[in-house]
Amino acid sequence: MKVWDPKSITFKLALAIFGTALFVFGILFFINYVKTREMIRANALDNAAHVADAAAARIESSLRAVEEQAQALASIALMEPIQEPRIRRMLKSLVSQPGTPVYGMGLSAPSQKVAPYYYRAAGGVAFADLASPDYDYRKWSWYQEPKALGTPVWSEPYFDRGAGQVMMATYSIPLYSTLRGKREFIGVVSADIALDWLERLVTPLNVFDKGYGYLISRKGTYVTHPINERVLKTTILEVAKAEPTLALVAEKMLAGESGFLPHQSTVTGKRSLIYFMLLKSSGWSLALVMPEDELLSDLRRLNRVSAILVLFGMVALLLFIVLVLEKFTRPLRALSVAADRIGKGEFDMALPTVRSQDEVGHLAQDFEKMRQSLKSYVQDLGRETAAREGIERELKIARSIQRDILPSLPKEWEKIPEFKLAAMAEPAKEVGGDFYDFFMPDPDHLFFLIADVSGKGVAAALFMAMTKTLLRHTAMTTRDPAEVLKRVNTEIVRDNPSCTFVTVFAAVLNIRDGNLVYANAGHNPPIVVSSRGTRYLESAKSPACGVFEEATYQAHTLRLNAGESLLLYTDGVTEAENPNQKMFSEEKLTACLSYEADPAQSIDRVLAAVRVFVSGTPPSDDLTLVALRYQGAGEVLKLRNRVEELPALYRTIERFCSTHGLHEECSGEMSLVLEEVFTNVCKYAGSDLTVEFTLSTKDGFVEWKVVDTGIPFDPVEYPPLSDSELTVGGKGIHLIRRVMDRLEYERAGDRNVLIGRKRMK
Amino acid sequence: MQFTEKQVGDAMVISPQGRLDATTSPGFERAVLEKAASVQPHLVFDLSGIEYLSSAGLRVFALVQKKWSAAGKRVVLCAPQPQVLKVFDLAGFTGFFQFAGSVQEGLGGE
Repeated sequence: MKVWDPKSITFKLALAIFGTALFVFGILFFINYVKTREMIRANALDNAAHVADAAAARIESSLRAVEEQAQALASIALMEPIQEPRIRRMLKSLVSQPGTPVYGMGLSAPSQKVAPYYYRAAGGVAFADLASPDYDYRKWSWYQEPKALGTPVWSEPYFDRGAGQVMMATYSIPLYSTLRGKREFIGVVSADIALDWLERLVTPLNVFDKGYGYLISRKGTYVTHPINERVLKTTILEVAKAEPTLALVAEKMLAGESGFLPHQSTVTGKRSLIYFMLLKSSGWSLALVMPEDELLSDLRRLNRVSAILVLFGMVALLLFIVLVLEKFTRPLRALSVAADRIGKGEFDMALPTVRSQDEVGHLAQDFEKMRQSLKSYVQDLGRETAAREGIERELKIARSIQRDILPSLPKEWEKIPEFKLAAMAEPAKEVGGDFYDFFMPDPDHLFFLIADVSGKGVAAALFMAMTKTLLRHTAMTTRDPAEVLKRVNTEIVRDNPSCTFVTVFAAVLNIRDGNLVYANAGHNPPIVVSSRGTRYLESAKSPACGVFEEATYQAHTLRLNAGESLLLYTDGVTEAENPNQKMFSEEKLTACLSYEADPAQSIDRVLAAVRVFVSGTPPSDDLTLVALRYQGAGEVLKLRNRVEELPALYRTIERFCSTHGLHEECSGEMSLVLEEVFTNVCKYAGSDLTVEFTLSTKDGFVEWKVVDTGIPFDPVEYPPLSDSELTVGGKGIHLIRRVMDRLEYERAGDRNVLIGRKRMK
Repeated sequence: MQFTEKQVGDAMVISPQGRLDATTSPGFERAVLEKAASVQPHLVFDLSGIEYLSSAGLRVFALVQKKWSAAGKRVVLCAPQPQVLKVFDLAGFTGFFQFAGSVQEGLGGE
């Protein structure tokens, strides 16, 4: 997984840490901003007030200086009667004093002809007479007002059209004499200050880029203003009509109050704060207009710096987080890659070395342990699988060998009509302990057996191979199955410490006459199927071979009739279990069997029934079946030569044909032919004779033999007759000769032996 | 294969339980021989708990019977269920073993 994959731990952790840091920083930044803003604003206002106060102080001091000079002149003028030259000298000296804010001074007394006035002019101090008819001081308010009020007063600013021709304001002191107790008005001392001078004092108020200051008079007239047109020409009240935010300011300023107020300046067009204060001496007011944005410009600058610092800090933090996490998760990613490859089977691949003792280190150690366990586990598994495959291969070979040990039906036995045999064995595992055997020690005898070794699997199979050989070998030396079992038992017991045993049913059948000699060593009794039903082939209780040396075995004899069958089986059949652990049982086994059935057919039926019963349950024991049907050497029938005996002959022919599965047509022909032969013997051979019929099948022929003790008569040599000569008897012989494929006659001693053969269909 | 054993006098009573077949009998054989081989007491098997006996199980009893009789000791099989007795019967082994109707009888018979 890549570091920058949105699903990676690095990415998620980095995001979480960075987000949290951003959040905390954001809150701190905001709080800081609010606090700083208040502080800076207060600071700025403080500063503004301070600047304004300083300016106010300068203005006041200038005005005071003007007032003081006026008072100085007034006190001199009152001390003695006005002497014009002296006054003029004094005026001149006062106005020409260096650094004085006074623009001009005068003394206007009605008692004098001349009202001297000295003022600053280009290149020095100039003189003017205020009493001249051009000017006539008596009509000016700076003269009338103090005279009327009786107190010193600052005039409204005005444009002086007299000597100075400048905008100015005048401080006037009325002069009174108290001669003889009577207070009498003498005149007015006036001192002027040029508005230019004031302007110079107000200009430093422009502490801000777009900020400005101005002065208004008691009545609201602009004394100074950055817009020169307003000075003396308009009042703040008039401007306030166009500027709503100025109305309150004007009201408060004219009421002589001080303070801050918000203000939308039309001069700068900016939201501003206005600071205003009263100048006590003159009753004028000073205003300072400060644009809000400039007031807080420090804050903005500070904020910009903070923001840049925070940004750099965050980027650095992010880089740091990513680097640290990348370093921590590098082994994890390496482990993940390694796990992938180990998962694909590369158990030898080296794991990344992690030296840290933290969780990742432990994980890496555990991982290494897991890799080693996995590796050894897979190796073990591989070895075990190989071993198991080897065993399985060998078992397969063993299975085929075992199958080959069991005899298969010789081809030539198909031509032996006397018996039919079928067998099968199915081991529960690859190999088993069940087996069967059959062979013909001579043309007249069939030896057959079924056996079951205790246990199953390989051990039983080995024992089976040994026992089977032993049984076959022994059976070749004796025809007595009891003797075979006894010898085999003795042989096995001699060297069998494990006490493995084998149950055996062994029998010898004389195929000529159906005589069966058998012995049973602890095996399930075979089932006999006859026309009357099924029954067990009981025998003496003899033990299975291989355990008890003293065991004895007993031979039993049974005469099998033609058409009767034997079914030999092992307990794998009767004890086959279904899913409910019920056993197949002997009852179900016998129910599968029927008299007519062919041996192979019987085995198929039993197997099918077992399969249906177990319905898929794996077999717990080997399952083996041998079915034998005795067809008989033929029917033998002895009759007296009387026609009344005919039905017995018919019955025998019918039975013979049915047991040998012969065609109906065949039985019809046989009846026809043998009836002829028998009636011939009855009529012509003599009286009270014995006639013996033998019916059999051989080499694909149905064969009958008729032996009688009558007078010699050879039907074979009997001359053929022309059709007209055919008598009843002659017709019969003719018929026999025509039906049979071969006809042989022999006079053996005192007997006629007539043999007829007909190919089976 | 589960079984319990206890010493009663000079005999050991062994009571196997369940099925004694090709799968379980090798273990049973080993266990019985291990427990009893050194001392070889008379053996009394309580077969009442055996539900199923196969030829492989039968072999174990045959083996024990042979070994013990060779040593002059007895083996008594007690209270087999009918289907178990039938297996002995079928294999023709019944006559070679001593059977008893109960453990009590088996012990008393010594």
